[in-house]
Order: sequence, then C-alpha cells, then structure tokens
Amino acid sequence: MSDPIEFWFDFSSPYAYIAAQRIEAVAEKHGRTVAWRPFLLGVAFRETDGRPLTHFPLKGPYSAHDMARTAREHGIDFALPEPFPVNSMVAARVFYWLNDRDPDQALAFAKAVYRAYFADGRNIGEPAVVLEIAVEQGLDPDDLKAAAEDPAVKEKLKQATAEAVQEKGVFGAPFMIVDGEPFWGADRIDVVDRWLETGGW
Amino acid sequence: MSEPIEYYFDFLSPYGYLGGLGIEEIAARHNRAVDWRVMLLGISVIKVMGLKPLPETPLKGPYLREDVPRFFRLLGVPYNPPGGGQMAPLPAARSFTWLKGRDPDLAKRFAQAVGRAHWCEGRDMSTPAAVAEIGATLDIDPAELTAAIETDDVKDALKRHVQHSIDKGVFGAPTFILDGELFWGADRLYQVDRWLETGGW
Repeated sequence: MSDPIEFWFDFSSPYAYIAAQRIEAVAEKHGRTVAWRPFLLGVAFRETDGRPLTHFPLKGPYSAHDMARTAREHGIDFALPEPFPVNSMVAARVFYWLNDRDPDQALAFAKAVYRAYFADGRNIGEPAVVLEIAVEQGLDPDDLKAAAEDPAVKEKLKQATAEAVQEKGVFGAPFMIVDGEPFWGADRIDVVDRWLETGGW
Repeated sequence: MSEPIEYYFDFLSPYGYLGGLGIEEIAARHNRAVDWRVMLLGISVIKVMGLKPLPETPLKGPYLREDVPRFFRLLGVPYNPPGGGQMAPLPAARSFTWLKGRDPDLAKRFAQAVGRAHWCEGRDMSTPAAVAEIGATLDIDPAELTAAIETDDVKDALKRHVQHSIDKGVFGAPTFILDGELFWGADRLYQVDRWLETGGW
C-alpha cells in the first residue's frame, strides 16, 4: 500500500488554498490518498525570509495579482481577504483534534475554513469565527472550545510544525511530499501529477 | 503588430536559463518576437527586497539544489554547471548590454551561448576572459569586448537596464512580460503559452 501524499498547508495561505482545491483529484487519479497537515507558516518564515510573501516590495503586489489570476485559471472562487494574513493557530488546532477522531470530518472542516476565508472573506483568525464554521459543519461548540484550549492539541500542532520545518524542510505552503520527494508551490501540482504518473525522473 | 514579449534574465540563474530556452519556442509558435533583457537578482532580491540570495537561504537553498537539476531533467536539458553552480554575472551582463546596443540578435545568441556553456557544459562564465571566448565563437572581437565592458558607458547602461526592470516590477528570473501581464518563473512557461493562446483570463 502506497504512502499518502503529505499536503502541508497553512489556513492563511492563498496558494495552499488553491492547491487544496486540486490535490485530491490528482491523488485519486493515481489511486493515492492525501494526508492533510496544517502547520504554522510563520514559524517557517522565521527561518527563511522573515515575512509573509505579500509584505515584500515587487514580489508582494505580484503575488496578490498572481493568486487571483491562478485561481481564475482553475475556476476557483478567490478574493484576497482583509485582514491578511491571520494567525491560523485555532483552526489548525481544531483540525488536528478532529482528525484524531474523524479524518473525513476534519477534511470537511478544513475545506469549510478555506472557503470561509478565501471565498467568503470571513476572519478565520478569530476563534469565534472558527467555532461558527465548526458549528455550521454540525460539530459541538463546547467540544471544540475545549479542544482549542487542550494542551495535548496545542502540543500536536507544535509538533506538526516542528516536523514540517525542522525534519522535512518545509518552508512554504503548499508543500507536497510524494514518496519522499518535495514539491513546493501550487504551480507544481501538475508536476506532482506527472511524478505520480511516471514514478519520477 | 504585437509587441515583443519581454524576457528578463540574470546570467546567474539556472531557472532564468531554462526560461530563455522555453520562451523562444513558445513565442515562435505564436508568431511573437522576444526582447531579451538583462536584470540583476543582486539588486532586486538583495537590495530592493532585503532578502538573502536564494542559495544562502535556509531550507529554501537545499530545496533549490534539488529542484534545479530535477527541472533540467524534466525538460531534457543537460545540467552540468561548473563547481557549486554559482556564477558571478557582471562580465556576462555587461557584455550582453554592450552587444545589445549594437545588435540585439547577436546579444541574444551570445546570451544563449554563455548560458549553455555554463549550465550545460561545465564552463565557468564568471570572468571577462570566459565570456570573451564565447564571443569569439560568434565573431565578436575578444579584445574589443573586454575593453568595452570596463567602460563607464557600458556599466551605466547596465545600471539603467536594471533600474528599468525594477520599475517594471521585475524581481525574479526568469520574468516574462507580455501584453501588460507579468509572469515570474520557468514553471510558468506553460501559463505564458496559454495566455498567448487564449488572450488571457
């Protein structure tokens, strides 16, 4: 049985949002599954560029334009939200808590969070908004409030981020690892497809 | 009559080299000309954006060292740079600038030959002598070239070209500007092709 494709992402990342709309279809085409792994991109930025992409001169404005253009190219609903970026910690914690109990539900939650932020412009950095989204998914708000504060869940996200950045060299989002081969960027989804098709080169 | 596609490159970038190969092929299919324009990552990346050079950036540098040869292999282009793959671009950039002022087509052929020598044939193009040797194969007088690139005229012209690229929003190599639209990255050649095909989206 083949290993799942690791899909490392941050709920605050537009390119990861775009990739999230496409990665499953690619995996399914090749009879593979996706392991959704949220992490805190801000921690990676401390090691590398020091700031989010859109904060840079030249590259910042280009990226904002390119995200929208790339979303349009693939027919994906997208608008760069305000505020941007936000701290995705609460959403990521809730994801990991859900994922331990019901991975399908965790995935539905993840997709709803992404849609809320990048299609509907809701501030997913606000714990109240994350809880709203979870309730809309039919989840119990008290369970989730507890989950977001649970030290074990906090530790899970911390560990996932450390695994990504310290062990696996993940420095951006989306970051896909296919049979140990790293691919960074939403624009490499087609290359991932080809890698799975051919077994690599 | 359509405007030429502007292709911005820095001699030190292997991705930039791949961009040059790809854009000529795409432009030919769409009956467009390509205007080769030199830029300097040392200015855009380090001075303007305040970033470290990519190869020196933690996490990103190691990824790059894996991604570049993989990209060359995907395109069937031999990857055989001298030493560690670094390059000092100024002699080549100045030579290109000097040539472009006299014969843009010759400048392009010179850039293609320098790129091929460095990235595919393992010849270090970081010195005036090395680029002059390439120039000689194109009937460019080596003594004339090495003298020209030491003049203030040529150095200033390069500075102007670099400033122009910054003014146009160019921060990376390769960058393609066509019909007012900017695309950054050798992995976006397919997107340039599609944009030319469809007129955009």
